[in-house]
Amino acid sequence: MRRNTIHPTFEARARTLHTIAIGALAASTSLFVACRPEIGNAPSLVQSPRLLTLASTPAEAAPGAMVQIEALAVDPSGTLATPIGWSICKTPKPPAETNSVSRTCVDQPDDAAPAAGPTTVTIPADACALFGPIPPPMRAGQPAVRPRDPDATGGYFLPVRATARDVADAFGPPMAFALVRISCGLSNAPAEDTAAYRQRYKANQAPGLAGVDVLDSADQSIGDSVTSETKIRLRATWTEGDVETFPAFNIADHVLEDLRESIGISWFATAGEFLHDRTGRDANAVETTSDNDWTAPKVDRPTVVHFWVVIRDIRGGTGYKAFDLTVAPR
Amino acid sequence: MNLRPQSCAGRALTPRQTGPLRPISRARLRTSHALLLCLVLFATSSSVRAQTDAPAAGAEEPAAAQGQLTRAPKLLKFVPAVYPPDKHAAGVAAAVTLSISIDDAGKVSDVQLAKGAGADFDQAAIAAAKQFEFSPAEIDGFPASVTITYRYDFTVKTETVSLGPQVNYEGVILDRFKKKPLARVKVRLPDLKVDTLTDIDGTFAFVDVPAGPHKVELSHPRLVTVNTEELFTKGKKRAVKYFVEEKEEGVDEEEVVRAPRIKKEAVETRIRTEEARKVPGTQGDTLKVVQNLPGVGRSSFGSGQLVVWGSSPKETRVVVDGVEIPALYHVGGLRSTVNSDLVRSIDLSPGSYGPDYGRGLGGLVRIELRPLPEGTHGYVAADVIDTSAMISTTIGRRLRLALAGRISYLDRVLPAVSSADVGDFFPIPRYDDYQARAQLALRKDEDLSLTFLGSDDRLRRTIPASDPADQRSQQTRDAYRRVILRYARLLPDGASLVVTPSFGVDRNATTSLFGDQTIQSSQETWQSALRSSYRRRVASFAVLSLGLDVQARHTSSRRSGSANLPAREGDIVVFGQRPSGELAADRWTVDVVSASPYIFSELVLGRLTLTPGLRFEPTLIEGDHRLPTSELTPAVGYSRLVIPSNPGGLRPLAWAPNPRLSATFRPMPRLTFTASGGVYGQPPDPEDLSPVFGNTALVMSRAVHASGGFSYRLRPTLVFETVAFWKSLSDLVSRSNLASPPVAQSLTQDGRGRIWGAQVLLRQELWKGFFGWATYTFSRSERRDHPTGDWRLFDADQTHVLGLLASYDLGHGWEAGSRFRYTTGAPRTPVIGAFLNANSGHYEPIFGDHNSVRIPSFYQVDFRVEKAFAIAKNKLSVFLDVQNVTNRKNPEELFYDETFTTRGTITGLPTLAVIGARMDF
Repeated sequence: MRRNTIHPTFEARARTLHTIAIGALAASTSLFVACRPEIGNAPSLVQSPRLLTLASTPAEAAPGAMVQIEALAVDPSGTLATPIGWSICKTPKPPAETNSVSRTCVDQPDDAAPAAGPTTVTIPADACALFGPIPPPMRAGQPAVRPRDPDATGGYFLPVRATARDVADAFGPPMAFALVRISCGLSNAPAEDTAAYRQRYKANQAPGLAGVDVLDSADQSIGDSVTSETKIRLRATWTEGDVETFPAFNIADHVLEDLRESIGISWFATAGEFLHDRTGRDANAVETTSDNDWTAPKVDRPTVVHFWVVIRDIRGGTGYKAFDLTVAPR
Repeated sequence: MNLRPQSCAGRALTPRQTGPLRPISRARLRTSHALLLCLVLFATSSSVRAQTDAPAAGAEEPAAAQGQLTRAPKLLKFVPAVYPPDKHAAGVAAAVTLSISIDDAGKVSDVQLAKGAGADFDQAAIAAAKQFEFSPAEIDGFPASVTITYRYDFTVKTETVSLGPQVNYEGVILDRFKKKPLARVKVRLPDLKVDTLTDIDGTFAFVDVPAGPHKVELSHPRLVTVNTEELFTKGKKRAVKYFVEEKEEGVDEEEVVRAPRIKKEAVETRIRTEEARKVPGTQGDTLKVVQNLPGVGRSSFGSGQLVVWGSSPKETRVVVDGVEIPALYHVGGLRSTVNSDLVRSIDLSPGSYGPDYGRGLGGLVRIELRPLPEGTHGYVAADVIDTSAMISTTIGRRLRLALAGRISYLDRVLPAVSSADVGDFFPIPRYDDYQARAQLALRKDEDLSLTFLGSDDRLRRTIPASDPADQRSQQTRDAYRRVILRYARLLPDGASLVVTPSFGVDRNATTSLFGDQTIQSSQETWQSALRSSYRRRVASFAVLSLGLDVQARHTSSRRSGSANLPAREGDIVVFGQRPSGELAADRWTVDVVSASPYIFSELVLGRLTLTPGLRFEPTLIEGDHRLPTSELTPAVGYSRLVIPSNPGGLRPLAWAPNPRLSATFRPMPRLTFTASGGVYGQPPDPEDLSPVFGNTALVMSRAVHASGGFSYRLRPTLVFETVAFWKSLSDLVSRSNLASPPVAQSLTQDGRGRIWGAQVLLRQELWKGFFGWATYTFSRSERRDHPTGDWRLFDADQTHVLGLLASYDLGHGWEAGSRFRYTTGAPRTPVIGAFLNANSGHYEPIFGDHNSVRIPSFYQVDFRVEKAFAIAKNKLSVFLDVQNVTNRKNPEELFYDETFTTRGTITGLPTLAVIGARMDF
């Protein structure tokens, strides 16, 4: 069984360094010693307080609108109702920074005192100027500001930071950013494309998980109890309506085209081992399920394992489902 | 040895075996097989050659002959015929066929003419044949009489005789400029292990030099050592005239003939190609030796990039016969892109080089192609990585041609020994290169050469994932072509003229997929260039050089994807970090044209030699659109003329040509002090001139170099050198740190750099089969990306670089060598925190101080052993090149787990043995 101890990219690049050695091995006396690095724990294993996702409702809103954001905070004991500090980012990311959000927004203080439960934020009126395609008004003597670039779906996002203030992971209070999709329309495109976009584009709806089935090797449901060290199959299901089709302007080819959402599933548990940390379906898939195998931990007494399954669509919509399984000793 | 016709009677020549002698007794030849009688005849100097012949059809059958011939007659006494004197004098040849009857005692009983050639020839042949004596023939075991047919050939023959040792190689050695003969110059034929000294007239001579190609070395303590090759033909004398010039202290061995290249740089390392091929870790690739020279940092694994004196790889120029090429090494650094056997010398100037080159802030690697040898030569080589071959030949007296090529197969070998889809996971480079070269000797000291260089690199991999958003793939293609025409003329007054027009194209394309995000970039650059230089002595103490260096590059670029990829020097990023999600796209064209005249002079003022020079590098930069375009925003182009301005407050000085200066002072023959410096400029990379991804207002970046040191020749072949260096860089391009940068200003040009350090070199040149060197470089390279920012370490800064290298000829064709390398790890920015990007589900790092930690140090021992076999006139070499003998797990890069809570190191190659073979012919 493959352990997802590091990201596939790391694995591949690390092993790349031995490519030549492997090649030489075939026809020479090379002594090849594999040293594939495996560090850290699988991200699907919850061993410390973490924020697993931030779900905003609605998933997309125009400037001035309000959205509710809920943080999924967990630790090995289960879902936490810990106070969350919220902060709306006001500084775009400079070109010199390589993350999705500006370092300034990482370091800025909370907007209000931390509180448990979801929060409601109002999308700033100038969000499409700060984080979108509409450049802010020019100041006298100042050059025009470069508009922001959209993502692959044509979207622009307002970063909202959440920090679980009363718990700590290896770095301190767990931190996450919700990138709330803002409706800024289509800019710098031919008029007909802009009009078509305005007519056809529908704000993103967050996907939801219709259910997570627990199956045995014969794909039969096995309820909420499994035996120690048993491998089971988990099947996440969503609806066809969760996979939306939307228009996006292709900036490379300068055409308005219809795209279909892909779906990603992140799996989390407080014990055991997943075959994959993440699964999903690409935009061409017609299936509305995604499977993952999970091997129960070895236990000597009945143990409750907490599960969280997070669903994401390509436009930034997020949902999740939590459930528990009891692992019984053999 | 002389050639002359032979006419001396009674002189014995080489014994010669004749053809078969066949008796023609028809009765006795009823058996189906013919009788073969081999006669060993000893011809005399009267040039009569006897030869038997097959029986003519219809020949008479002796009446007495009945039964089976059981023993053929054997000629026991041969009497030469007297060559008719008048015919011999006239060179007339003839053949007389005789019918000789032999009795049962072996005596000649009768001789009849079967086919005549003239009365005088016929009589002479008959008279001689009558005196022959044979062993009796036997029929059915009893002596019997027989009749045979015998042909007498009268030929006029010339023969070579040795009159004792003969001079077949002589010449004179003259001072290149003064045209005066040079005495006591050592002329050595290394492969024959013979040498001689020129006399007071500058002449020398060798006797009985064996035919074939032989290397020739001309040396004198005060002269530049000259190496060349001469082809000796049997029976012909080789008369030559060599021009050499005085050596400047600090110049390493040169491999040039007649017009040795001058040394303008105080800091330059030159390696003989035959030494370079034996360096462990290079797998016989001459150009890879550059990675082991002082001042050169170790490139990160797989990059093959050159970091010299703390400069970025993009700031170092690589030129072949004066023509810039984009890459010295194939992707991954496994091989060089130019065939080693076409290379005569490799020069590395880590900085402070002369005014004849520019357009770069860093170092300079000059590759000089080798004149093609006379005759047909070549090689075929193969190892587990690739195969290469070269052949050169001579057509007529003046034209020489060469073809060379290399093709890799690692990407095909690997799936055969690993999993079939290994290429989907690991980027296995595929590369090839090919060269063609024609060299025409127009007349004495006037040559024209045409060279074609081509190189291709491909890399492809796919990383599947269970989540579509995690799937990745990458394809890259890099290629370049160059056509180089080079005209070189050595004028009668000692001046030299070189004109090198060239033309070529560079192409590169990258497509990367990160889940739903596609990142594409491609560039195509057409390059036209012209270099011309003229050099002549203008006074007894001064040599003047003038030149013009013109280059025009037209680049068409296309790019779409994240602005963060590809990463730039100075980017704060961790290994494997996915790009941020934003996408942009642009297509743009850029023309960069510069016409750079330069001038420098070598002034020998006693013990002081000065080489002042100037280079004026006006550069025209044109682009097709200054601002981002769309259907709503039409393109508006731009054009501007820029120069690398000189430092200082005076504006006129800023627009003056860039000064370059080199000085050497030799207070004693073994000790030389050196100093050099200059101002250098580099035009912006066309890739940075996108209004979407870069900045269309970029101008020249600038550097000031200074270096100084000394060299001390401990022994004739043992040199110690040390050099301290300093560089100041300004107007460097970096990413904007503004949260909302202006349009077309994602990049800014207010970065600065400072580099300082020192290097030492102890080098043993080839001596009694041993060569090697020890180098140590201490350096610190820093950058400040913006005026308000802090100084940080350069991404590839390496404080300590130590290299030890030795190679020894063990005799009997065995050679062995070893290399040790130690380098400080490159700086990296630590991760001090992480946050979850709730949209992607991935964590992103929070960084600490820029480049404030380092990858752990690297050290490695390599070993190489080679055995050469002589097979006829060919040479077979088999080598074993073992890298990382101690199997040290050298850290090559830092990486993090998904949540950035655990940091690890990616280790480099384990012990790696590469076996290869090479056949030279």
